[in-house]
Amino acid sequence: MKKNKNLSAYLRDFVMLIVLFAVVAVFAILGPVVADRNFLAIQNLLNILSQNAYLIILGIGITFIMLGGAMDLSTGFLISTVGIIVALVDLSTNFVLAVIVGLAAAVVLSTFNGLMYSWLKVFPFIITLGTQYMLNGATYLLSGGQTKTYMGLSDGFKVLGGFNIPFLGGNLKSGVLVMIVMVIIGSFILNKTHFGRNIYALGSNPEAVALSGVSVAKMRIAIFALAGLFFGIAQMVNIGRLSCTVNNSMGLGDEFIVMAGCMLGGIKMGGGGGKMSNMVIGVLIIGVLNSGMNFLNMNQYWKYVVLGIALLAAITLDTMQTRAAANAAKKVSAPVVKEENKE
Amino acid sequence: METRKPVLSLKDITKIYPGVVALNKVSIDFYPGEVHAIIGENGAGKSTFIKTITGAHAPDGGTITIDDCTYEAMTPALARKHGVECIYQEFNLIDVLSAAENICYGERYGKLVNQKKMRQIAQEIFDDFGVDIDPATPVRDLTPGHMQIVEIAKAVSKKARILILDEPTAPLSVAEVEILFRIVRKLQADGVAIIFISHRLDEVFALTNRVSILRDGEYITTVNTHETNRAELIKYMVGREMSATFPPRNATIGDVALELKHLSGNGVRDISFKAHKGEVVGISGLVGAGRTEIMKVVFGAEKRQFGEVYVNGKKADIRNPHDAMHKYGICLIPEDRKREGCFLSETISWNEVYNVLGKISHFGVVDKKKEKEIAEYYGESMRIKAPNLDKTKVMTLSGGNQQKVVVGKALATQSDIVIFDEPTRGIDVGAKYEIYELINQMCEEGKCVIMVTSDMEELLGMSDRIVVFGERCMVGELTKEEFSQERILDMASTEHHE
Repeated sequence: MKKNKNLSAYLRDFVMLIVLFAVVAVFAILGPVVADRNFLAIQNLLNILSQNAYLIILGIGITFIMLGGAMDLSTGFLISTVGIIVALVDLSTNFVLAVIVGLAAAVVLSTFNGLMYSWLKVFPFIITLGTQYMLNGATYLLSGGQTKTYMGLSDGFKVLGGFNIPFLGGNLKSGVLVMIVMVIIGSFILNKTHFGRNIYALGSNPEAVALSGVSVAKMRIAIFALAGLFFGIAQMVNIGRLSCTVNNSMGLGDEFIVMAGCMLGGIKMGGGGGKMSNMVIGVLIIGVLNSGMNFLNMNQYWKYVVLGIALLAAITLDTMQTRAAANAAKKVSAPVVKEENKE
Repeated sequence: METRKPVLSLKDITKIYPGVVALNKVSIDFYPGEVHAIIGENGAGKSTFIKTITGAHAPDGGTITIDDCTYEAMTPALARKHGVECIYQEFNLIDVLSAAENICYGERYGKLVNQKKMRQIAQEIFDDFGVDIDPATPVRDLTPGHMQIVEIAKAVSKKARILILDEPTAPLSVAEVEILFRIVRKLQADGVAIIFISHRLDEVFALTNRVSILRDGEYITTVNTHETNRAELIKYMVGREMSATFPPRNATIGDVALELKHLSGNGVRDISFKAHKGEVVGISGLVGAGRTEIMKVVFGAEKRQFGEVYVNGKKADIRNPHDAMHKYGICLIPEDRKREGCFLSETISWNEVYNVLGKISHFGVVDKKKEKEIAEYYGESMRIKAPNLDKTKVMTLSGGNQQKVVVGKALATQSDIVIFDEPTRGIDVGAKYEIYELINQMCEEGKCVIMVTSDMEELLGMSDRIVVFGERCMVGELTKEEFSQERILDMASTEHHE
């Protein structure tokens, strides 16, 4: 039984990679037929990577939060608020200050989620639902109570996310490089450091963490703070990708795409396991679905339907896995009925 | 009484769990209008016996005869149909609903919810009991004693003819116990058969007509309460032969390593004892006596209210488990290894080094080489049987090996004071012996071992001294010469109301 379990775990990593290739293959076949275009063109594939780079950086933060046994609904509004703050600072002062203030704001706002979570000890769904509304208001209040688009931010952002790098005969946006560096840093934190182990430990068994003298409350706050840093970086890359413009709705709904990606990749809801690479594959699957459907000129409302199905599929997969594990744990070997030695 | 017909009669009830015979051919009759106590030590089979009557699980052999109908197994619905009601230690009430709504839960009076009728029914029962509870009060606003009365009222409103009370007095104050007894006597006079589970022998004598004794799943005997005495009941409860063997220990007992002075907190008060280097101090008491609770206070996992802890003669200020492990060298191996002891979804090595990550990290980065060294050292000294310490996840191990991982994880802190909470619960005989050897080895190395255990053989076989807990307080201390099962049980089952 143990062997099967390991095998299925390996297979699972593999399965998501197969799913990714399968989705690419579907569009590669449909592309020439439906839209008379080649989905596998290098530039198209590089575009997909470029478009999803910032989502993967967001995903690093969300992975920390999910592995630690929590969740965050407010990420989308958090980064849109950060975007407006960055735009305001950048347009009135300079790039460096904008980046510093932006990252600080992201860390502070996310830490607030962590503080409330540690203090109230309720499931963070409720807390981040509340902060989501606050941040929704904040993003519009910061832009003077109306929807606004800020253009012409510093070129520095272009370097972070929108600079074209020639690669394999096409162009790759610089955001992809930032993403790769961030994934390496994120994986390092998760796999090599003391702190990373505590994230897994917290998601797996908070009682045991408390009994080993680690403060569960401080850990939770630290995880949200760290995630905030990655959220901030993601939004910087996103600004660069969008030709240095910012508006109020930048990033809205992204939290769901990324969470769905995480779950597709096998990061468990409520903690207890998963890898950074799984998250990258999961987010890419959704990214490929998204841009593939654009590629085929599908009605955007159909896109919503398909993405919704993908999210439900991810949740189903996650639940089935948990249930299978629970059932496996309930199984006992056949009872050994001893002959009674007493009369 | 014997001439009357039993309302409930269990015959040759046998229940086998994998590896354990929980009940072995137990036969007991219950008569209307009697209060019948079932007593026995922890693990004697009392709970299993009740569950057989309520239909919570099916026995592997024997029959249950109730109202002249004979069944091989009850179901919850069948039990209810025959008027069997059970009041568990944990209340089964919906706390946002009123007392009246709880009592009438599941009944329909007309098409809509009829609050007036429900309150009337509840009031009648309360008047009958002679208690003053407003039927409209939400249950969450009631005291534990009143909640229990609501439970009993609920059973009465369902026309209970066999009422099972499982440790009913545990959450009650002295005054509330009096009210409960009055109600029980009233129900008894109405012809209800009452099955009373308690470990407080004083209450057994105060309330019951007959007593049945179970021991290790065996039915011992049934006696008339007025024809027996405390000493006789204790003799029946403990009359077992010591069968397990324990490895010999060759340790010298040294200075005092840990001393508690009037330590109170986490619901337990006034605990004082000393534990020496090289010594095993056994902590005995019935389930719920507060043994685990006070150990958590010593370990800093729960708040200390009063009293002091001294480590090696010096006053210790233990504020959290980190202090306990890294400042004072105290480690705790918790009772529930799966929930509190280890990380099941991680590997053995991962678990072994978890407590000492700070020591083997450079700038927060874990030193893999040191991790391997520590894991291998404890893997070997704990004799953990696993294919690969680095790859095998703890959840795939047997209970005994999991326990060894937890012990290794705690010992990696290099603590000199080791608190074991139920060191061998749920592990097989061979693994138990190995754990005992480990404990001996620790003592020989001069460590001080505190062992909370509900296993009487283990307690007597391993301890140098025994501290006996009553109900959330300490009732005494026994030296090796004074050890006896009777003595311990007598001390532990005395009532200790404040």
